[in-house]
Amino acid sequence: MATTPRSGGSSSGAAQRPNGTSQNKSCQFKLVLLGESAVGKSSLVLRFVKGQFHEYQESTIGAAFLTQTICIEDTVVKFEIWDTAGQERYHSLAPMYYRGAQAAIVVYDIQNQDSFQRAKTWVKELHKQASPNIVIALAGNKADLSNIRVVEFDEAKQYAEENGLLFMETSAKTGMNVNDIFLAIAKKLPKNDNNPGTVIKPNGNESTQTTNNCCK
Amino acid sequence: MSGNPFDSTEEEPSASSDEILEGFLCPICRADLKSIDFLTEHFARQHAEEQDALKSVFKDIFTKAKQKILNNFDDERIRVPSAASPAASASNAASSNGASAKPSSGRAQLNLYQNMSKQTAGAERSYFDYFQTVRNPRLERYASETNKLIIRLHRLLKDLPTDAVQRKQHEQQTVPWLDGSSVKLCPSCAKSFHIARRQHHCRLCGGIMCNDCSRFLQLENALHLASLSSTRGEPLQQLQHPDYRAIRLCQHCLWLLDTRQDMHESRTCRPLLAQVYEEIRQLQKQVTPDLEMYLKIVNSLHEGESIFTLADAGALRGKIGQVAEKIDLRSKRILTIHSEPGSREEALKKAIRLSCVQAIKERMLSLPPLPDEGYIRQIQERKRIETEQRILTEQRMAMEAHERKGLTIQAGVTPESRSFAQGSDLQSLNNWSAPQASTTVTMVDDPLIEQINIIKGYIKQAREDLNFDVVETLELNLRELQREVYERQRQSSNSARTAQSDS
Repeated sequence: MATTPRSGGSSSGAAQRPNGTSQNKSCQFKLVLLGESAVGKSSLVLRFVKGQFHEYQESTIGAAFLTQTICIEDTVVKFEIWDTAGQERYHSLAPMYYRGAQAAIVVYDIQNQDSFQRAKTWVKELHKQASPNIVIALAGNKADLSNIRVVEFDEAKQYAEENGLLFMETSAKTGMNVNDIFLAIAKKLPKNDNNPGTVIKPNGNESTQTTNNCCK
Repeated sequence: MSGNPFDSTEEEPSASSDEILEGFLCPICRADLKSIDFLTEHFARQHAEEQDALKSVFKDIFTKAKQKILNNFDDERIRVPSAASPAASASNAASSNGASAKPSSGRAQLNLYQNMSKQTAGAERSYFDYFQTVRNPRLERYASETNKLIIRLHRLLKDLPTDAVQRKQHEQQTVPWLDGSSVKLCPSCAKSFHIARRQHHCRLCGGIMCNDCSRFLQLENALHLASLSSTRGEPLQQLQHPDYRAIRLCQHCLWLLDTRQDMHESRTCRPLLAQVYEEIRQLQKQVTPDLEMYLKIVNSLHEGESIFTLADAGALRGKIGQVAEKIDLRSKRILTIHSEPGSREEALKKAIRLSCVQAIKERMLSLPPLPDEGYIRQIQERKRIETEQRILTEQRMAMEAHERKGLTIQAGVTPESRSFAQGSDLQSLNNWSAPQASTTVTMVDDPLIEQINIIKGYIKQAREDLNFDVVETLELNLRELQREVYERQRQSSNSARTAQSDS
């Protein structure tokens, strides 16, 4: 009983696949947003996913999950976006979300020097802990307020180049560069079709329990 | 086989026959049967058992033809060098074949085969421009011709008198009729005109034809074509004679008008068939990811994973069933759309219905059945026990290693982190109740637990939306979170144990 449906399932699945992928490849990427609180991570995502902007966006609790599918050339790219909370008390959650991520957007506020420093530490942490080929983008958000900026464009640009990051100044309010930064990431990501994402285990201890399904 | 190629052709038996037979020849006995019917009959009667023989005859003919062609090639190739000076021939052959220049026929044939296998695609050339240069003037001509007709029709209908004589005058004024005195035969059917077969004129081009070749355009349609409103409906009704309620046209003019009408319709409104078919395509596209997801869920259930529940699969199956029903309904509706029996449209409708039925049968109804709940529970139980045991062993080993090294894990486990471990009243963690119990920190204060609850809320929502892709992602994340909590519990319990042993 166990074998017949499974074999039937796999065969028809295989029969469908060539149909589906011949027209356009599809791939799925896990993307995580990091940065100090109130720099506009959730606003960026909300702008990207729903095209909305709320002046008084509530602060995120834990991590929010959203998906957005975009097309580049003939490839359908599905982003699984984990929008983490910026508050320090949720810092311990972050590793769980950037661990298996193929891409990360580190956000800072161009009016806030501290947030830029925090962004740098996030980049450092990612380089150290995350998957080695993670695509990192640095986003200087709130670019609509560039007349009262504190972090200079060139400074951030230089930092990004030194560390091999994608860099854009964005504005979730006006929508400036928001889609562009996600598109730039999607273009930089390797597109072997149907990769479910390489989950990287930070240490051996963790991987021994991958099949732990005692819960529930 | 050297020298003149024409000699060699004449040596060939297949082409050597002095006279060329022609007609309805039987391929086997070569008798001329004079007509297709006789030939088929003859063939069926005389050579019924000789089907194989027939094949061999054909094969024979083809091989002969092939040989002949090849030989011709050979001769051509050989003839060129042999006609030129030896030196030139050598260089020629060498350059063309890349082989030695001896013009032996066997070698040449070999080279020919080599060349054939190496053949590359020739130059490509787009004939689209040419096609357009031919087509455009043609289109323009038809367009101007049609427009002329429409203008004439418009004028003709504008003040069409009801009286027959006046009408004839009006018609002749609008479009001058050709002089029929010298026309003895109908130009379209070539029958002679006489008292019984009189000359008639197309009201739009003035051309002459007989009554049989005339076509009629109903005035209602004509008004519609000329985009005149039929406010003059009343006088039209008064015209008693059927001929007067229509306009006499020649075949060509009617064809032009019809074509225009068809083009107009095809441009402005899509037929119902196309609309319904579009809907079907849309539904089929929609259901594809669901089908994949369903298979995935069923597989996952059989694997004993607990990411998806039986209810998930049931709900998704229900959804797929609904879509299948919709597709079925629409394809049936396509069948009911009226069309000429035996027309291409009819065939198209049947083909659509057939493909829908097939798609439903193959892709939706043949979905693997769901395993029953008891079975799943069995698998999950087995798997749980396995995992539990493995984890226990790992824990034990870790402990042993830990004791051997005599290390204290995180000597200063903060009371805060200990509190995470305790009294986790999360249902899912009941299996792993912490060995220690104590302090009173509410669950929400722990970001991890908070996050678990958030994710659970998300999962519930995603389940309701039947968005199983998201369910999967979230469930995996939930597991990771729960593992993290468990990990902390373990650490804190370990440290507690070390603390106990220390004391």
